[in-house]
Amino acid sequence: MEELKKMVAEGRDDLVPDKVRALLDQGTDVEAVMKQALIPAMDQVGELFQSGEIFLPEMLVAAQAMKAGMAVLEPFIKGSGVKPLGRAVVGTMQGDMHDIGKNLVIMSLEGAGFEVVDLGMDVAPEAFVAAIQTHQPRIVGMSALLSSTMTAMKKTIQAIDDAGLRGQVKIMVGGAPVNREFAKEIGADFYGKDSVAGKVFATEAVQI
Amino acid sequence: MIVIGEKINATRKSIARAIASRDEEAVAILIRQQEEAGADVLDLNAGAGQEDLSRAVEDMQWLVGVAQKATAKPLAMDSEIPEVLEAALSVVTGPTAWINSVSAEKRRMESVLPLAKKFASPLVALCMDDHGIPGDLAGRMRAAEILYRAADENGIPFENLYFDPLVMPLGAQSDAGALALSCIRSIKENLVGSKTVLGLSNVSFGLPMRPALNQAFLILCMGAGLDAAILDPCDETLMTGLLAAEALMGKDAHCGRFIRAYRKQMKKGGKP
Repeated sequence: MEELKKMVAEGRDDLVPDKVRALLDQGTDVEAVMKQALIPAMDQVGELFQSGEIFLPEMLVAAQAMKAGMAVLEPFIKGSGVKPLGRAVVGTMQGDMHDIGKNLVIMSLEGAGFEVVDLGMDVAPEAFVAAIQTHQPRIVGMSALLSSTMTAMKKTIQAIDDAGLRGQVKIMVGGAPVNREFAKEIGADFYGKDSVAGKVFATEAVQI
Repeated sequence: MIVIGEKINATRKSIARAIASRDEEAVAILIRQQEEAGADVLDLNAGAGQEDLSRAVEDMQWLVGVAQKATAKPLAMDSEIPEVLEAALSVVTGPTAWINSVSAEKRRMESVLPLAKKFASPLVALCMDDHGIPGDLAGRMRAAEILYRAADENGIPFENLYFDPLVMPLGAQSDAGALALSCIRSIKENLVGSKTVLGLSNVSFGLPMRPALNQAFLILCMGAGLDAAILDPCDETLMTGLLAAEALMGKDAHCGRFIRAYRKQMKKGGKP
């Protein structure tokens, strides 16, 4: 397990799948592989990134390694009754073509055990509403890097409200021009200064 | 090399506050600092997600007013909203202002190109279209070619077109720097008469030693033919690199600007 954790943290997506298979062959529980190796590895990576000890490319390769491990587990998870921590729908606002921040949030959420629906960039308010109706997530994450697309956040939250869905989701927002006051003003539940903050909020929100 | 100072941007929280509280001095100081540090053009972005258009227009016109009192340099009107651009350009009393920016998105071309014609503005043209930012050179060049033709149809002289190849963070995409460099070369070669510009600091996002990366990238871009850059002129590493590169490229007679910059740094007690 420790070895697998290290492989994920070091971004060895070439080694991780075989290691996961080997652990399963030895009789290790699917859930244990997730909760004692993959998830803690990403937690650790997230913290190191947040504290500036590791950098964006290192975080990205670790996430790839995590995904490679999850791909091996996927068929077993389906049969085993292991439930994801929760479901989240995440996207960048309409008019905004920046996805790195959004992707970091998705990585953190997936790393924590969330099932994440990635809506991509330039996502219209109606598309958020439709995704909430289809996927029934508990968490909705919105990202904006441009000051000009912050207004789209407000519109999107309004659209979710108008569709009668506001009560069933917790909305978290983030991105360079966004701050706590703005989040409050537009009726979001949480402003995350980085992906780790978002993950912590989402994890707490689904456990209430 | 045209240096466009990037610091008056409402994405920065201190600027958003200064605009909201109409703090003239806070804005004027930053403008003077950038000019002093070598900015040729001052970028102005007042957009902080204002609710209504009239507020966005008011904020921008206030910013232009403050900037014009603080500097005689050209301004670059930085907004995605055509009404804001027009309102800003219409209160310019100094030298011809830039427009930052247009892209090959249909809606933006239709609204912004006529403004560039009307005000004879140099125009930052982003190499992206209605489908977003193309991931490869061919896609970026297609967007640039659309803009090149549309500018021509609108009677905008090519020398007013500054194509921005849009550099992605290197930390997320290992060929991001190389792609931007080949894009600059290809624009200079194929879209004859037009120019290139680049927002610099995005390239180093998420990586350590950002000043070193930014400096190396700027110099490589200059070597590839970059005409202008949107950057922080108060970043001494960057500006020293820029001046050194210009001297080495034969664009600084008797190394005059390079030596003057050295003396200025010595005077400030900084390390050369």
